[in-house]
Amino acid sequence: MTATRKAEAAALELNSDLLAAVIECAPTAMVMTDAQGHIMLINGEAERLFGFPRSELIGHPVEMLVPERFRAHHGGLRNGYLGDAQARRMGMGRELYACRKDGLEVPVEIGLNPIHTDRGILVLSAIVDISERLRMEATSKANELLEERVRLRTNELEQQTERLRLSNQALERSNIELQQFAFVASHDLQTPLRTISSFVQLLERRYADQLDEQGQRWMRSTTEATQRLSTLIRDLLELSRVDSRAQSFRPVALDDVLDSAQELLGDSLREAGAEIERSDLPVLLGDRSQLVQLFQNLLSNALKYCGEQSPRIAVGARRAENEWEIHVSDNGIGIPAEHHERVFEIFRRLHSQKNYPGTGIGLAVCRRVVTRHAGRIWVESTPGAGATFKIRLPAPDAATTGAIA
Amino acid sequence: MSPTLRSAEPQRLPQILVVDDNEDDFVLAREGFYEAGIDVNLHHVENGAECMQFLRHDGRYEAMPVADLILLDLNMPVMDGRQVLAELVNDPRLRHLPVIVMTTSAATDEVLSLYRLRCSAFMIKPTDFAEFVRQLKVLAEYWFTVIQLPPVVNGRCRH
Repeated sequence: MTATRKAEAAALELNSDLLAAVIECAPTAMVMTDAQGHIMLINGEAERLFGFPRSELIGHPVEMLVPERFRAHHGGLRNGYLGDAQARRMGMGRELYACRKDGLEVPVEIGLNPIHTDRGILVLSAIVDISERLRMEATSKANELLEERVRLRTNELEQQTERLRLSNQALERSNIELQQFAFVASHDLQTPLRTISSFVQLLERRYADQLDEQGQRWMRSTTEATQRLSTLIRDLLELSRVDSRAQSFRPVALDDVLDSAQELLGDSLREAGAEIERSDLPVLLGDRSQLVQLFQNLLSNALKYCGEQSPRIAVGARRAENEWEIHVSDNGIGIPAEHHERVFEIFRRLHSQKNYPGTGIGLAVCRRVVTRHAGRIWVESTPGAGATFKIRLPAPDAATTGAIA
Repeated sequence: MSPTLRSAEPQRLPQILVVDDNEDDFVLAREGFYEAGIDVNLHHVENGAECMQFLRHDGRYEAMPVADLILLDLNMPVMDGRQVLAELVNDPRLRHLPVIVMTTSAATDEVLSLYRLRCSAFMIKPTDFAEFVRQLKVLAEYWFTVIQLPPVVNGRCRH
């Protein structure tokens, strides 16, 4: 070996030592292969990435580090690269995986750098483990998806809420309209009805003697029908007024309320020879005139359905936790169990007009009044053994009613 | 049937002005007074504007007598009962006139506001004619017997 060759060899050795040191220090896994694809050199990062000690790799085909499913193609791809070797990224859009010693696949990005030597083209590959990046990308993708779903769902919910609000509004409107309709209809019906009934009565007073028996019968039928219509309209008005003419709640002594109801029913109570047995009633918060109506309707109900015997009615109250339970019991004909719920429906009548005339609104008014007072009303009854109407109303605290109790 | 006279001043019939846009209601009032046996002179106008003209003897009402009592419907075209009440209160020459508001039904607060407008009495027209006749009797008892109607001088009210 001449001095020059020696120096050249020394320089080369220095170069390759330098190269090896640089490669060893690189923070990236690096693998150098020869033109045949045998591994010539790897660095510590590559050992860590692939899990092989370098002794098990040097001199072996680089395909050891390629997952088995890609191995068959790898040689061809590698030769293709050598034909037009430039520094570039491997894969060009494909997802790349490296195969570890333990068989696990690691997603990677690989940079290829050809090194032209007199022994042919060597390829220095820099391999970056991108599993963490992919995980983060996946997480943020998932987060984005989640956020998007949340946003869509929120949007949907908002739309639903808006739809609910609108349909609520529409319901409220139609409810108000219905109430107004009931009020206006029954109110405006009164005027022509009054004209009809008054003229029929006038005809009867003045001209009845000019009619034969059939004419008089027809006149009586007309009068009776007008009276029924008049009662119906009056009761409908009463029902529609439970809400439209509602007064604000004040402390009300139910004893006074019952007094007023009895007073209003004075004549019919006396005519029926009714006995009313009363015990002390509480003071509640409520709409006095509506509560009078409630008692009046319940009492007149008891009078009406008393059957053969003279009516005995009992009214009382008991405390049930934070409510008052008020009862109105009678000794009348009673109500079969299957009708206990339905008697409170409007126009629901269990008897013929002939036996028990009525409009079927009275108990509907009762229920509406009780509902407005945040209470419940129900009936307990056995046919033939009388009926007990029970009402539960919230008991006010002592401070609210103290003023008049 | 000869209606009995119940006026406190037998020489003069009470002049009653019925203000109602419904002709039938006027007929019923007329027949009601007849059935009640109350002798009155009834006059009929169809709205508040005509009512004011009648009371002020304006235009075609010039020769009309002084009204002793007004039976006033509430809901009428042109000028309704509430407006009539408001205008009467503000007219010193008509302020004293008893006005009985007649209506099919009214809410409590409406009744109160009408009394504030100085309506003298309030009558809810019953659907039952016999009841109406009873009410008219009560009304006549009170206004023509117990209460001395303001005297009339030269066809005009003395103030």
